[in-house]
Amino acid sequence: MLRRSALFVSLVLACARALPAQEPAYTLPESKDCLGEPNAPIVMEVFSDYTCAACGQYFLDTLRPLIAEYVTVGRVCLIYRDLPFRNHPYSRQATLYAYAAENIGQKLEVAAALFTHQAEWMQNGEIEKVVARVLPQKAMTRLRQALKDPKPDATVERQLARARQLGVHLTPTSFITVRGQTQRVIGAVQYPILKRFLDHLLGQ
Amino acid sequence: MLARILHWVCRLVLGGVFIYAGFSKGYPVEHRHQFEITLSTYQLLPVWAVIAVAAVLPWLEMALGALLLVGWKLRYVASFAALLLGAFIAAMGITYARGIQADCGCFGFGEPISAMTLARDSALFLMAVFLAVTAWRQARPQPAT
Repeated sequence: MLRRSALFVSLVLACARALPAQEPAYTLPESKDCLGEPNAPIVMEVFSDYTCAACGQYFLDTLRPLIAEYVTVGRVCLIYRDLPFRNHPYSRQATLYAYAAENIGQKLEVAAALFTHQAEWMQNGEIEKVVARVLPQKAMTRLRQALKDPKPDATVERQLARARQLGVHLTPTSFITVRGQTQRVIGAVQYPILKRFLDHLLGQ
Repeated sequence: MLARILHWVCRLVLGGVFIYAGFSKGYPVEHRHQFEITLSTYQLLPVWAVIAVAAVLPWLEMALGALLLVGWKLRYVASFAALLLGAFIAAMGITYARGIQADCGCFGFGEPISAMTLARDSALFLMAVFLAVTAWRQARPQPAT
């Protein structure tokens, strides 16, 4: 009987210990390098990795319609941060391509291509071949030039530092801020559900 | 005597946990939407089911917690609590095994599903099973002496 009670007490203690730990406080980034209106009522900061399947699903099925319906009309400021988070050999390379594409104003097209053909380049490492499918020849030349620049590499380091500061260790992770209140969301949310949440926040 | 103490501790812990879990999902109003978001990240349910479960579950948990504390029809309530916790473990386990990064949504938000959250729910499940078994045993007619 004593052994059973000891087991029981340890179960209760385990439950108490497993309660959620305090997360680092969220602070809005100093420079809002966002898609859309920097002064939009809602700021959404997303951390993503090109080798993560859920990130692909999130970008293609949720963030793309979000950009069309909320970002382009100035209701949401979307800060999309790419992280080479996973120990995949091509994760950093894909991230560098995305930031180089950002420098030539083609980030969304390249991100969509990387996620759509994720399984392909993750296996053979031929990222450029995938990117070339969506960029015209002229843009590809500019992208190759941008890749030689140390700027994308520095951007990746900056994003990693930001992720560490906020205690982000899973992708996708989103921070949705409205009127100084921030909600951390881990995982890929279905678009209709995110839309309900954003409409609720905008309607307040 | 010890069994009775354990029985009471189980009731108090589970009752308190269910009330707290339900309350943290339902109040303030923003939390109801946040809970929908959390359920959505599990990628197990269609949109309509996510909305329905997010609307019902907080109330169900609070009612279950209150009934466990009051002790009304305890054997049925404890059995249902065990079933519900079993369903939570199954949903979390499937999501975790599929390698999906999702929020647990157990007590508030921002806590990812992990081995720790699964262990915690398993511990609560064992408590609910213990409570249900003892409650059913107590309800059994005693043999005449």
